[in-house]
Amino acid sequence: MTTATPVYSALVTHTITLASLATSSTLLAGQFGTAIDQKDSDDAIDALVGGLITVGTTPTANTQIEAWLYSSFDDTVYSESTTSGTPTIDGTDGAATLLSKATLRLMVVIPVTATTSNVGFKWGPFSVAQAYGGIIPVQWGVFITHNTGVNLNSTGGNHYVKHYPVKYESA
Amino acid sequence: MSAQFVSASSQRLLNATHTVTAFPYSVGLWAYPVTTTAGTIFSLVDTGATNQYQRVSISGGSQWSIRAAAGGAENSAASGTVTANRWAFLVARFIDATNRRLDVLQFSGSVVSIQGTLSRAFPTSAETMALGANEISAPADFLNGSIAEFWYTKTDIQPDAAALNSNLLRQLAYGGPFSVPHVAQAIVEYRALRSHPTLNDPIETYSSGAENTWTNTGSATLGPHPPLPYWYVKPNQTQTLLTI
Repeated sequence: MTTATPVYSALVTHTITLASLATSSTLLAGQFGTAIDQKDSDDAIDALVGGLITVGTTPTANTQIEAWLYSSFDDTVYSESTTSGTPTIDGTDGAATLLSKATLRLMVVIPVTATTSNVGFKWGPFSVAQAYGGIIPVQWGVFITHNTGVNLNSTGGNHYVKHYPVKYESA
Repeated sequence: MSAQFVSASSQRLLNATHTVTAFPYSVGLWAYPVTTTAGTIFSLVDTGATNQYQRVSISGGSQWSIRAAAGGAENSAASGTVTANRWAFLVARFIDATNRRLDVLQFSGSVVSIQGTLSRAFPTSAETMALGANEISAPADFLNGSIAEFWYTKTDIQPDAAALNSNLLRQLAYGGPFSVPHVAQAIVEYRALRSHPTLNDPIETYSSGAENTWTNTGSATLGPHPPLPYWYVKPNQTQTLLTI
């Protein structure tokens, strides 16, 4: 009988600038990371993604941080909602103000329940493939937004997004 | 998708086959008001009597409110601020005649806890459950907005009768009622309302007993669904995908 065993490739650190990310009262403005090119660089069948996000100085209590997935269906454009047709998410680490998050996939809503400064929230892992019905998209990335009332912690090293590519080997 | 109601068209969903006949019971749902004017989100009503109902609504002061009447004056407890065009998750618990609780997870992440304590007995008959209106003999207070992920139990889902634990509230919102075992085993009915409000789609509905029958009065339509994580647990979900 063949046995399928998960194999984890090397940990991948995403390019995403989260230091001092501004608060968004509408939770529509945030930062997207550089897209992971799954099709051309890695033949993993899934990715387990997670990370660390650190709030800033004296955040507002009872607010939240959201982590979303964006993706590409054609290896060129990315899932988002815009008015002009001009891409807001272009697959390269940058800020975005979306009209809606309806075409993204929600991973987690992290409650920020206290005003304590510089609390780090480690989140994940979440399966990218399962978020898209079982098959990992050709390209995908992470979008982060928050409404904590203050900028996120200003030190880049206090934030990260990483994933483990997952493959299966049979024996 | 969600059930979308237009107040001017008196749209609401009615269930005369529910089995809630006494305290306690709990109701959960996502609500998306498009205005902050008064409107009823959920009601349980004795339609043949005067002022015999329990309901969850947006108050005239644009606040979340939990209300009850037992033949006389309505008691209303209200708090928080309703924001138009934003989803909020609500859990109402009608625990006993002197303890009605409503906990709201606002779109911003803040939690509003409301309690009504003036004695209001369970409606004499309470034969009708409604979404989108207060289904009294002359139905009133129609909702402008949408409702999704509706469920109810014939239990108090938190046995201490206190305000709902905010962690439980968030889990019910984003993981769904079937992600919390003691709630899941008590669910009487669940309707995602992704499909047409009167359609008993087995993927999107669940009944612990006989299938409830809902009528769509005024022709409520389908609207947008709240943004839920992919790991939101659906009824009868017993396995996840493994691609090999």
